[in-house]
Amino acid sequence: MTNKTQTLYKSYIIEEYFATKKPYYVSISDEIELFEAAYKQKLPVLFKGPTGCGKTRFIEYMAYKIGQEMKKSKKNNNSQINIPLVTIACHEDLTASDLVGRYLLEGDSTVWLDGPLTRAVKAGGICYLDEVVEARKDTTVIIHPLTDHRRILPVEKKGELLEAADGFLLVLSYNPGYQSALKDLKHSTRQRFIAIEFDYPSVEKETEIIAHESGLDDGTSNKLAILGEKIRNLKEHGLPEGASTRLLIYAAKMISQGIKPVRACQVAVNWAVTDDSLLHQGIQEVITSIFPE
Amino acid sequence: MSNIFEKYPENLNIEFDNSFKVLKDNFSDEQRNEWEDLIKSITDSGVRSWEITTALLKKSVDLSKILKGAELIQWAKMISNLVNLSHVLASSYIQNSDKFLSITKGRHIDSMSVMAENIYDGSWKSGNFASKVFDHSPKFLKVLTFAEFEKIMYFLNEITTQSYDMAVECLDYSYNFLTKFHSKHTGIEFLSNLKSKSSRDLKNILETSPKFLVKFDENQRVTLMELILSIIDAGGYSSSTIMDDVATPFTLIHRNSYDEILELCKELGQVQPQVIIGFLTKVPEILNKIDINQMKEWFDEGIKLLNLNRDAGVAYFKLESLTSETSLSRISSSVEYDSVKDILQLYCSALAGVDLEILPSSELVDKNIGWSSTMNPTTEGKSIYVPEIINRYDSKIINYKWFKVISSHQVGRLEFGSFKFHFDSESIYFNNMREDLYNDFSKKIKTQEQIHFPLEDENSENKIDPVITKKTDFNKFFELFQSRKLVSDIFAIIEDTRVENRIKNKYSGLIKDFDDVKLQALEKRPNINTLNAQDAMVEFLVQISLGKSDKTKVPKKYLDKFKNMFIILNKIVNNDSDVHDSSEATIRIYKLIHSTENENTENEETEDLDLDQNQDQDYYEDDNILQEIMQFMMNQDSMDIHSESDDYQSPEQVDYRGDFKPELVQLLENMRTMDSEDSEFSQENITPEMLKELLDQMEDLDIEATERPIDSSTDMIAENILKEISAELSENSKHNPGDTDNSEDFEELETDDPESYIYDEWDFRSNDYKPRWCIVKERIMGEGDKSYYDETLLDYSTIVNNLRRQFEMISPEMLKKVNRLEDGEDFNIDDVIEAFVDIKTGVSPSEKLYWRRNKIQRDVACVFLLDVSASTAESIEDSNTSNDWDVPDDPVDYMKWIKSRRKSGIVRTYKRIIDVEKEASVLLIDALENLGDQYGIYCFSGYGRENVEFYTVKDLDENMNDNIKARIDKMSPLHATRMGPAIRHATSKLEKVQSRTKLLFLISDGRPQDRGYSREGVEKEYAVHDTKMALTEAKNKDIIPFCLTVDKNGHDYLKTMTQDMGYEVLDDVTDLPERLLDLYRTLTM
Repeated sequence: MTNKTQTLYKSYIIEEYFATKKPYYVSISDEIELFEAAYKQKLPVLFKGPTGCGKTRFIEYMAYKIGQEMKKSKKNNNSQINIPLVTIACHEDLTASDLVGRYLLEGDSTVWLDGPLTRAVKAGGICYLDEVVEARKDTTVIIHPLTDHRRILPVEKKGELLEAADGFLLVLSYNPGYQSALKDLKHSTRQRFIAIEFDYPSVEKETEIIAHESGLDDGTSNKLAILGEKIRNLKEHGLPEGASTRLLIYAAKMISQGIKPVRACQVAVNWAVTDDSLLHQGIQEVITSIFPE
Repeated sequence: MSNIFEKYPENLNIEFDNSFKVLKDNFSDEQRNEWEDLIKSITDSGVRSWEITTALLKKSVDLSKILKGAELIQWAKMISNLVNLSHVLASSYIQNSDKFLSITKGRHIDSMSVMAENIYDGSWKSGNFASKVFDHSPKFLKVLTFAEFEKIMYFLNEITTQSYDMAVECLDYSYNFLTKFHSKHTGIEFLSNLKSKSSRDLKNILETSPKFLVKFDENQRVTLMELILSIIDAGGYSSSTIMDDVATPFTLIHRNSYDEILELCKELGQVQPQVIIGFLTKVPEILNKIDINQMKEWFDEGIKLLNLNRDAGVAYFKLESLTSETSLSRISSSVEYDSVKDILQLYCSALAGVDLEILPSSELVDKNIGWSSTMNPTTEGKSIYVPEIINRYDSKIINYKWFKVISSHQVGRLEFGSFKFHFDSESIYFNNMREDLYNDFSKKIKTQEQIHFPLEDENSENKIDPVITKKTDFNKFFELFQSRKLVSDIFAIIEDTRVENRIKNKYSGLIKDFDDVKLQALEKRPNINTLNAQDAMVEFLVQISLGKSDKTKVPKKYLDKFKNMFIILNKIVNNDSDVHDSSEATIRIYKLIHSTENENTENEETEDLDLDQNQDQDYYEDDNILQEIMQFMMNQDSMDIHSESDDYQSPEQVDYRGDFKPELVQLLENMRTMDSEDSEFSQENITPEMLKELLDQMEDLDIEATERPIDSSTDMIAENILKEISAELSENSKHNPGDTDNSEDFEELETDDPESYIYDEWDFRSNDYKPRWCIVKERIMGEGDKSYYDETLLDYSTIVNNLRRQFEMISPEMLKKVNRLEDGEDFNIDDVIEAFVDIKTGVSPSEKLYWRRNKIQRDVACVFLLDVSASTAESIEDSNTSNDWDVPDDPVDYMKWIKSRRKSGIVRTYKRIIDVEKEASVLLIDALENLGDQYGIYCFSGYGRENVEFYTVKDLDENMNDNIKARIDKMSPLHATRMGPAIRHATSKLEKVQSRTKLLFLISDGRPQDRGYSREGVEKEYAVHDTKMALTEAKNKDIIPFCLTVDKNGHDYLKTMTQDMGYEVLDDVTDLPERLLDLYRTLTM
């Protein structure tokens, strides 16, 4: 018998990675319409909102949704059935070549390798720059020509100008608040985007989301949503960020694994949102009020 | 008649003869002669000695019964000795001799006089004292043996060497003192010990102790005295108060614990007597928190500590150390407001979704705006009030749970809208009757008036109460009922039931706690059958609201009513009922109860009402029932069914629910939102008279039930409410010194002064700048004492060290690895590859292939703009503790008041906001000097737009020097807060600086205000918008503004003012210095 090596992981080429299933997303207000309109008009979009409120999920959802609609409208033309979504998590060492691409040595010759942004531009996908303020300021400048009417990406090294394919759209996410004032977005950058503001969903919607994501029953999910709402009330009391939906889902997943709710909320929510011991105690009181021990 | 006394008055002879007649039987012949001789010699011994003789002879008659002849002679001999010393002495001896001799039964004739001889040293005073000794001897001898008496007298005599007066006083006091002891010996022992320490102590203690000693029993007295001795022994204590200090604490504690406490003190005395008094003074406080057995545990820990470390132990017993308090609270089962308020505050704010303060109930009572119980939890719509200490249970956890339950209940009222009652809003679960009732009711009043004033039809129109439009919704509702008391009680029960049910549904974690508390409350409720009918029905409601669900015996006669009440109340219990459902339910239940005669039902036949069975029954009403209720409500006052029976009595309060005053709270709420569009209340139409009228109607006020002796007439309350509300409303503006003059001249300003700058101002109404509108006058801050700087650094030395360390940690980051250099420490491999790639692809490669660790200059320039408006003179302590009741609300008056206060030189013991700002400046300078950033510190204030004062403490390009240190000291509260121009001026300063990062810190204590900048109403917005615009301008010039405020109410306007620029509200002003530096650090990293 031969032992065949089996690939345990799946790997995709950036342009070919699509959500095969509809990502789960519950709309909070009119953000879906807004985004669709912006997409149709090729207007770059800026997402503002606290952490864990669903920005990334939203962009996945929109990529899928728009792709599906295109499929419907272009039944015969199979060339563009999905919108690729290229997500780039920005960090402070992210350089322009990391985005655009670079030459690599291969033996005696060199090979050009497109960066993720270039690939998205070519493939006509949505390029999502997550937490863009974290990137170096010079990197944000290279996206400027992509965001106005020109829609071009200059590839200096190659001496090329790339015109963005039809479906290309640049989306930034941005978390205002004061991590560092030095990392604010420049006005010249900001004013190239339409801004969609995100906030945490209402208790009812959050209940629905939590229940769906974790498979927990509605009652407990509702309690978690209430907990989220209550903790967010404390934002003015020294809590830097409210409990995100993501954290609530974590808690829900812990509960669904059989951890006691009070404990699950403590580890997944309370200790995650703050290090302040007074706040810990205050939040713990809220948790024990909502969940019986 | 004998005439041995020829030279003397005749009575002497007569006296002698008389006495001799009695005495002769006592004497033998020999003695008779001796007697005669003695008498003679006494008489002859001095000029007026015959007087003594007379007294002697008279007394001898009395003594003949007690003394034998020889003794009489001895007695006379003593007198003859004494006469030689002093007449006064002798006569006082004679005077008292019968008394003391009758006690001593004839003994000690000689020792007594010997004693006197010893005391007497020839001076007038010593004679006086000796005769006092004789005077007091009888009563002393009644309780003391002669030896004891002698002992006392001898050592009192020693006191005479210091002062006779004192000795005399001691003589007086010591009798009282000694009588407090059974074993006089102990007492005397104590006194002599005491005397050997200090006779002054002796007097003081003798004087003060008797009144305290009566409170102790014999053994305790002895211990107490031993204690005092050991304290005095240890020294260092002023004796005049020692007795007071030792005994007063005992008056505050229960007698049963005296023994234990004394025992503890004794134990403490063996180790460290000095601390006994410090400990005793705290005993009452400690016993408030823990019981005597727990105290022993606490005490033992202290002793251990004392043995290890004397100072720590002393502080422990004086309750002046953290260890002591922690161990106290660990041992104690009671939970104090102070220890839980922070957590509860977070908890309640989280639940309610608004900023809530948790305060002790006593504070609300002190405001005297209608609440009177210091023990009950309650809310007035803005804060939650709880008792100061909970000591109901043995377990701390359960006591804490109680705290949580009571505050959850109060928050529930807010969260589930108990006070958001609108008369016109519909109920979901009941047919709406309020509107119809109100219409019919008004009609009825009108017709009644027409009957009363048939001829003055037109005038009667005017007679309608002018207040009618300003009623609160609750007021309007409760007015529909004849018995306010009854309807208030019913409504409170129904609403509490509803709120509790909502809490239960939403917060299932609280169910158990609530159930426990309810069960306990239920156990304390009275038996329904012992009450009168109406009382019983209300009590029945209370009990089902507390969860009674089993069979209940009710009077058979009213079975249906009870059942109906249960069903109606049950209808409220669901997931989304609101206060309007409660109000409709109230109407129905009121009808059931009010239509019942309040008769005694004790002897009525009872029947079981099974509540469980009726659990699922739905309340049903058709038009007929509705009609019937309408009818009843319309005619409730004409029905006279209650004439014979007792008045309705409110049920006992359910303690954990506390006070519920919907009408009062709604009134306060309405007044708080005065002047806003949807409020019927406005500043103008609220008068004390009108308030009083509203208050008079309220059932909420428990005027008679006040626990404290405060004037709680409705007049007083009305006045206090107005005061309170206007204080709340003008919290931000009361210190605005600009006058409220409306006549602003609309002219542009000009200036020739070189240090003056002109700026525009943003007018948000016209959406445009007002050109050349403000003059900023820049001055250099005067100089004060530069030692202030160093002293502050010293005071904050721990923080300073900490901050320095933190700021030093910034420095290493300044060593940055710099890539792409032509020369450096090593190749950067990435760059080299890139260069190769370039060569291969035919592009000219970069020569910058090296990297180096480079010291990058931090390039930060920062301006700190400090608000030094008049309000920074406020104490940072709780405003309630400072005596600010008489602060004038009017800004002009306020300035006068402040000035007069300053002039009168009231010593400031509290810390002001400005002081914290000054300290913050010192720490800033210290930290930033180490860091090397460019920075400037400026203060601003001003009055009016042509006088914006801008003071330089440290200019941006100024180097640190002693003058700057001195300037900080000079910073003091000035006038108003016109932020806009100050920000613009600071911006212009920063603009001139070449820096990569520019920061503008604005530190303020309230919203921006100035004359013509921030009048009440709309104009308030003006200032906020101008400031916002100024900040935006700065931002557009690549300056990063950051607002830091110490105004707790800062969130509302700061949000508008700063939008997504950074801001922070400091909860605790004292954090300012540290927080400021912290922010500076994070913002510039």
